[in-house]
Amino acid sequence: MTDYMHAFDLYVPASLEDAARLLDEHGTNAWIVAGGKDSFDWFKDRHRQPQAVIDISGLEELHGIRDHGGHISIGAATTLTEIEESELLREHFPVLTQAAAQVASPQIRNAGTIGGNVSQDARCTYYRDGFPCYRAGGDACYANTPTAMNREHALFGVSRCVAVTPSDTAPALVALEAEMVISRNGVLQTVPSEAYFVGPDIDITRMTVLKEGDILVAVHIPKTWAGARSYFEKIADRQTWDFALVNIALVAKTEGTQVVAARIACGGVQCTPRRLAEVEDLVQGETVGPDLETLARRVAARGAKALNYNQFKIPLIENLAARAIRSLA
Amino acid sequence: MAANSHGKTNGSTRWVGTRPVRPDGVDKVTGRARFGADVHLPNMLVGKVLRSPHAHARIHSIDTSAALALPGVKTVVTRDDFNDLPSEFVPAGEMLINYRDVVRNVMAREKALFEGHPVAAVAAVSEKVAREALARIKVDYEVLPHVLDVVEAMAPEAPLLHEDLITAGVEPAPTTPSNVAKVVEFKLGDVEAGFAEADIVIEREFSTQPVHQGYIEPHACIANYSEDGQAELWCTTQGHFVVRGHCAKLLGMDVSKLRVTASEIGGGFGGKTVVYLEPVALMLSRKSGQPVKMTMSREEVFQASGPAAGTRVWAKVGMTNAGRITAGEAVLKYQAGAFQGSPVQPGCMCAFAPYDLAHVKVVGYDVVVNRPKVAAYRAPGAPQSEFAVESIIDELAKRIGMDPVELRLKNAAKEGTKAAYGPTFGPVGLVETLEEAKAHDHYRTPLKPGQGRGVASGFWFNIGGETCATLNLGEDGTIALVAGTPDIGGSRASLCLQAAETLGVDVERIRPLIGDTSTLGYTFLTGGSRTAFASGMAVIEAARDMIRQLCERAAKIWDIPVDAVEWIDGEARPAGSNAGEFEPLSLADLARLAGKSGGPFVGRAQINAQGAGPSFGTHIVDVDVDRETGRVTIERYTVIQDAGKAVHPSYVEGQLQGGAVQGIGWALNEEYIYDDKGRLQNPGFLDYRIPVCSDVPMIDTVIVEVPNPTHPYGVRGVGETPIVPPMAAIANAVEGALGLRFTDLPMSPPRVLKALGDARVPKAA
Repeated sequence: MTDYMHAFDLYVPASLEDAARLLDEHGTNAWIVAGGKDSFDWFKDRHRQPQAVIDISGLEELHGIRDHGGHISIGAATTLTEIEESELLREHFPVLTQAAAQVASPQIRNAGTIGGNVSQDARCTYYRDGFPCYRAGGDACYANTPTAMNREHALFGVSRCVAVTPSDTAPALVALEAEMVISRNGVLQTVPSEAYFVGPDIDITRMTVLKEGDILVAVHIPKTWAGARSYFEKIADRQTWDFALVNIALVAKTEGTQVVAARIACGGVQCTPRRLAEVEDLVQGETVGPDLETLARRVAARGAKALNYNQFKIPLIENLAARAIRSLA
Repeated sequence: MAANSHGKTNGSTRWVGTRPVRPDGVDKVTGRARFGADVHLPNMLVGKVLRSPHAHARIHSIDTSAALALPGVKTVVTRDDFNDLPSEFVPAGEMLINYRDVVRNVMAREKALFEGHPVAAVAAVSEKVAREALARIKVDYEVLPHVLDVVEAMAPEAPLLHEDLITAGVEPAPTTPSNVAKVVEFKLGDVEAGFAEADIVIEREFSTQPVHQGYIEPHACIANYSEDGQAELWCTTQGHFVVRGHCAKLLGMDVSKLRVTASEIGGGFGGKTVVYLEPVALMLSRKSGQPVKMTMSREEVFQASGPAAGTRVWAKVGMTNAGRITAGEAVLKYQAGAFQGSPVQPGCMCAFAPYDLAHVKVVGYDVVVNRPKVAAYRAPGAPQSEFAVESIIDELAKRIGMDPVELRLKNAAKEGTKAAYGPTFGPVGLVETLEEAKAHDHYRTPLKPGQGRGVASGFWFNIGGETCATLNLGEDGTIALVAGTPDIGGSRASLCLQAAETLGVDVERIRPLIGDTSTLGYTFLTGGSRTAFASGMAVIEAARDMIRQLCERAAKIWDIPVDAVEWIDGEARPAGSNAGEFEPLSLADLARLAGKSGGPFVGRAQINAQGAGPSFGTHIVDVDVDRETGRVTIERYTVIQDAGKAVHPSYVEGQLQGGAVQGIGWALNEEYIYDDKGRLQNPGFLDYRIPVCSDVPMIDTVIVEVPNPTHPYGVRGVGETPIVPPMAAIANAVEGALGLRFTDLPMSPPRVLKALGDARVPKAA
C-alpha cells in the first residue's frame, strides 16, 4: 500500500435523497464512504480512483439501534463499537455483539460501520494488488495456481475466483436470519442476508447484491432468535487486528441438552458466509454430547476442496463446529 | 586532585539506578518531537524512487526523457549518476558492508536483484508530479530466474545473482562463481572426541523466516546541497556519523562538507544503521540545486529495507546421561539478501556461547538471494542459531528427565569459560539469571491443563567503539550534555544520570542533546547495545575532565595547590584542614565566577570504549495451545537478564519487554510471503503480523546485576540479548503443551494445525 491518495471531490449529502441523487449524477465515478476503512485501502492502493466520493456517515437515518417490537433495526452507518456496546443487542443477539467485538482493532471499530463490514470487498492479495484477475474483470485467477499463496482462500463454492468473505459480522447476521434494507432508485427494498452476499457463480465482480446507485440503509434482525443460545469464535493469525482464517456463528434453541433448532454460519471458507446446513440438520432434536460433536465434525467440512496452502481450514472448520455444539452443553 | 573526584564506584549511587522522567518524554507525547519526515525547507522538492517490479532482472536501458519533460520535474537520478566503487568492507554496527554493494543497493546498476530495488529517482515540485514522473520512466528489463530460498540458492544450478562472486573462506578458492559469498568456521577442541564421550546425541534441522525490524517510523530524510559543494542532511538514523561516511563516499565528498543531523527516531532495532534514501536525496539535491525530501511508504520499507536473515540451521549436541554437554556442532546457512553480508558470523559466535564446552564447531554460510539486503536486527544472527541450540538443549533435558534450568546451570558459561569464538569470559551473569529463574514464582507456579512451559537462555557479546561527548557548563550552573549516539532506547536519560552521578549534581540540571556531525568528533552509531555503555563512559570521562577544570579553578581562587582541592557532592572543597579554611565552591558558584576567574568550563571526552560486558538472559514462558484451532496464546512471560548495572531501570525493563515481544512475533506470526514471481505479498502491518498489545501479556522482568568491571558503574549493554531466547523458549513451551517439537518458524495457527494433522496421520495408519 502506498501512503498517497488520488485527488477526488468529497460530497457530504444531508439526506438519503441527496445521497441517491449524487450517486445517480456521478454514476460509475461515484463511491460511497462511511467509516472508510475498506475504501481508503483501495484508494491508497490506487486500484480504485473514483472522482466523486460520497460520505454518508453523517446521515441521521443511517444511525441508531432501535427496537421495533418484532425486529431490531441497526442503521448501516452504526459503528461496530456502538454495536459491541449496545445493551439491547447484547440482550437479544449476543452472537452479533461478540462478532462485532472481534472485528479488527478498537480504533477501527470506532470508525468502521456495520454497513461497511458486510459490504467490504474481497481480501485476496492478488486481487488487491491489482492483478487482472477474474474479479477485477480479467481472465485468470492468480491465487489458484500450483505455486500461488492461498492459505487464506476458499474451501467451498469456487467458481473461477477463490476469494472468501472477510467479514466477522456477516456469519452472525446470516445465522440470525437478518434482512438487509437497501435504497434502490429511491425505493427501500428488503433482502434476506443470505441473498445479500453473492458468490462468483452469480456475479464475480461483486461480493453483495449492491449495485451502482444502491445504498445499504439498515439491517433488520427479526426476534426469531432473540434470547437463543449462541456462540461466536474467530480464528486468526493474530489475536487483534487481523481477518479471520475461519470464523463461526451459531444460534440455537435448546430444551435442556436437546437442540430444538440451530443455525450456523462460517466466514473465511467461501466467498459468502457458509451455512453449515448439514450440521444444522444433524443436530436438530439431538442431545448435545461427545457423540454429537463427533458427528458434527464429520459433516462440517463435507464437500471442501482444499487449495495448496489452506488444507488447515478443514480441521479448523470441523473443530469449530464441534466446539460450537459443545458450547450448548 | 583527590581520589574522590572520580565519582562513587562503590555500589552506593545517588542517581544511577533511579527513574526520573526522560528528558525527551514531553516532546514525544505532545507531538513536538521532530522525526525524520518533520523537517521542511523553503523550495523543497519531493523525491520518489522508482523500484524494480522484478525479483531479478538485467537492466538494459533506462529512458528518463519523458519524466524530465513533465512540468514540475526538476531532475532524475539513475545508476549513471553514481560512480562505481571498488570492493571495500567497512563496519556497520555488528555487521560489515561493502561499498561496492552499497552503491548498488542504493541504485541498481547491472541488475535489479530484488523486488523494490531502486532503479531511478526523481525530484519534483510535488508528490503527485513525482509519481507521474516515475510512471514515465521506461526501463528495459530482461527478467531472469530468481531464487529466494537459502538452500536452493546454494545449489549448483541456482540462478546466479552476482556473476563474479567467488566464495571467500574456502581453500583452495573456487574457480566458479556461486551465491555463497563466504564460509566461516569457529572451532574449539575436537567435536568428534566430544561426541564420542556423549551418551545421547541429538541433531535436528531448523528454519527461521526473515523478519522485519518493524520500526514504526519509515525511513525519511531531507538533503540540502549548496552550490559551493557543502551539504546538510537531516535523517532518521541510528548513526549520523556513519551516514555521513557512507554518503560522502558514494557522492565523492569530503566528510567535512557534509553535516548530518539525526532526527528523533521512531525505532530502529538495527535497521537504521545503513543508508537507503540519503545518498539519493543528496544526489537529487546536488543536481536540482534545491532541498529534496524523501520518505518511504510502509510498502517500500518492507520491500526494500533490511530484514533479519532467514535461515536454515542444522545443529547437533552431545550429552552424557548425567547431563554434561560434551560437544556442540552446527551448520548455519543465512540469507544475506541481494548482497553479501548476512550476520552469519555473529550467529556462529553466539550459537553455543551460553555453555562451557570443550568441543565446539560451527560453520556458517553467507548466501545471496533475491530478497532485500538484510540489515542488523537486535543481536543480528544470534536468535536464529540459538533457537536451534536452545531447542536441542531442551530436548536433551527432557530425554534424561532433568529440569531444563538445572541442565543449563550444570553447563553454564561463567567467568573463565573460553568461548568458541575466542575470548575467555570475565564476570558474566548467566548462572545468576538461571538461579533467579529457578527461584522465581513463575517457574514454581503449576501449569493449567493444556499449557506448556518453556525456558531458554540467550547471549550477546555487545560492543564499545569510538565515542565522543561534551559537557558545557552554563553560567547558571546548568549543563548541556552533547552526545553523538541517537537516542532510541532512553539513552539521553541514562547519560544524564551517569553525568549527574559523576559530577554530584542534580540530574535535572543536565539537559541532553544529540549533536550533529560537526559538533562532535566521530562517534559510532547506536547499535551493539553500546550506547549506555560507551557513550556513558565518554560522558563520565567528560565529567571527570570538567571536575578537573573545576578543581583547578577553585585552587586558583583559593590560591592553594590543586592537589589540595577535592570534588565531593557537586562542590569543590579544601582537602582537609591543612589545605586551608574555605567555604566550598559549588558547581553553580564556579559557573557564576567562570568569566572572572579564567573562562568557561567544557568537559570533553573522545574514547574508543573497550571491554563491553557480554550479556546473558534467561526467559520463562507459559503458553496455552488450542489443539482445535492451532492458536498459541502467551499466558505468562518472564525475562531475567544481567544488566551489569541498570542505570535507568525503567528503560532496561522496556528493552527486556520489547525484545521479548519482538521475539514472540518472530516465533508465532511474522513471515514474508512471496508469490511465485518473487514479489512480496504482505508489505504492510496488517498482513505482516507483528504482535500488538492485546496479543501479549504483561512481560515480567527481573534485572540481575553482575557489574561489568570495565565500566565505572558496571554497565553492560542490554538492548539485544532479550530477543535471543524467545523463539526457543516458546517452541520449548509448545512442545511441553503438545508433545510436538516445532523446528520451523513461525508457529502460526495454520502451521500448528498442519503439524497436529501430520502427527495424527501416522497414528491412525
